[in-house]
Amino acid sequence: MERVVVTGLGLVTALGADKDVVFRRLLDQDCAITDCEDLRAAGFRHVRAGRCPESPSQAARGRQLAVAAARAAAADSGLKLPEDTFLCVGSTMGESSAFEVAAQDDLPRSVLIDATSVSFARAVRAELGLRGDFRTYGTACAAGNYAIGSAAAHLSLGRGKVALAGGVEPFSRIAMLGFSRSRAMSSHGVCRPFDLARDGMVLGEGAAFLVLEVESHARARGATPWAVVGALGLSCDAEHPVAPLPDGSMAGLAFQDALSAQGLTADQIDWVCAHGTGTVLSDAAEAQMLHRVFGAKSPPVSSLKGALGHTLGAASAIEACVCVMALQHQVIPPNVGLQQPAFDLDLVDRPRPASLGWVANVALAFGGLNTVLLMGRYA
Amino acid sequence: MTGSTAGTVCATLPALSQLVCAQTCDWFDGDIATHERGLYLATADAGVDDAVAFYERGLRETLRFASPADFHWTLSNAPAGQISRELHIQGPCYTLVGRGQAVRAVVDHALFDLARGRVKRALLVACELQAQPQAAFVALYDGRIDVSAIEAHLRQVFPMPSDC
Repeated sequence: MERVVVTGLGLVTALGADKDVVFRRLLDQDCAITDCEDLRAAGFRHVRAGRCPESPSQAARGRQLAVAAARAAAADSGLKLPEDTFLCVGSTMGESSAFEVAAQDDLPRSVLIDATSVSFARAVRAELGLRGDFRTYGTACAAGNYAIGSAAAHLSLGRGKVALAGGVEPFSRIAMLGFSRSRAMSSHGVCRPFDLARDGMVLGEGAAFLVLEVESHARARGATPWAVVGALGLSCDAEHPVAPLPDGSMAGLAFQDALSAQGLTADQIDWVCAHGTGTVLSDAAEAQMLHRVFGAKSPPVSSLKGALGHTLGAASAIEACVCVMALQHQVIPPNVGLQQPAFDLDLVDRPRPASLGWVANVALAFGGLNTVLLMGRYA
Repeated sequence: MTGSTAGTVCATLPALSQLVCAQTCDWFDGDIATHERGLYLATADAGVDDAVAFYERGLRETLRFASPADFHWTLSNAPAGQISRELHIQGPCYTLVGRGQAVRAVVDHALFDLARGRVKRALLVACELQAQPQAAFVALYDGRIDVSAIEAHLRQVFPMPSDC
């Protein structure tokens, strides 16, 4: 099977829509989470979120984020994406604003069906002139990893040369309500992954896409691969609708699944880009998982959600882009908001230069979904 | 149309998921380890009506006091979550959103995982609620056979019980 490489990145986040700016701001430990007056006016209990500064229209917010990120990825690759580019998109809530409108005014059900996550794939296809096969992963907060891993597997099997894969999540008032009422949100509106004082997540929004190519295709056109896409490990807790398995055993199995498929051992992982939502339960379960996989010898671990908020279905795609940039620049972005580490892990508290060969992008989700996507330095 | 029927629709996804489990619980009997079981689900609309109903209730009861109990049903992977719990499926668990593309994709993912030995048994589910709850249906495919003969092994299309 031929290697699959990353040749383009595009992302739109609360920290910006330029990949280099986003990475620099992550290294600077900037936090994009702010008060949102519209949420306060609407009566929400929690009013802080990480929303994109260049506010797209509310009605087509997700589609606009998707197209902007996809265009940026294509431009970054220097490749006019061929019509048969394989497209994989992940999302949690879809175009949430349509469902929010429908709660107040009747809308034809066909309009709502068109607002599912599939709408993002359709928008990208239309705007970028793609006519190839496409898939939409509704796998909640792990959807980005599913999309990228599946696209890479597709290419590695020789079924195509180029893929565009990522995740999209417009800000969702439904998610804000749901997480808030589930007591998953930070009461202070500050996300502190893996910190003793962590008290919940903060919602974000964004989109990210990666252009993937089989290595021979990238090299033949003179492109510079940024990274290698490795195996995607998957498992399911099969335990609880929303809470993670506390001992991290099934998430650990997903990690081992990825390592085994890639032919690696745990000591070859140089950084874990953690799921790290900042909730008491989820961070504890993830820490248990990391102890299971790595024993007492923790690799550097950091979560980006203290800076960006939790962007749900876009999160692991954004984090995959950051993994690629970390591999490229050989520096690990730190946890933002970490003051008192709650776990015996090597939690990164400032930018750390490092020799990064393989990194692991962890994403966990409602429904007990566990995913670990491996990404490697291109050499 | 949405609105007054949304509350009724919200009961459909759990019922549909239970129907799948009832029809397939024997498929995973025996010595198949739970992590070698895979679930591959395609849906055009799981979560759609629930998202509307959940937010509608939130607005009606004020946003600060809405019940969180139904929130996870607003996500398209909620049916797969329930099925995985009922049938102890701890291997790969996919939910693909859409119609034809999604169905083809779940077959593709299942075949890939079976071929590489990642799973020993795969449960493929396609569910669509449509506009009327009683018209919801689920198609089941038993993945424990020769993967070259899918159509011959498509078990059945089950109509939803009329009281759902």
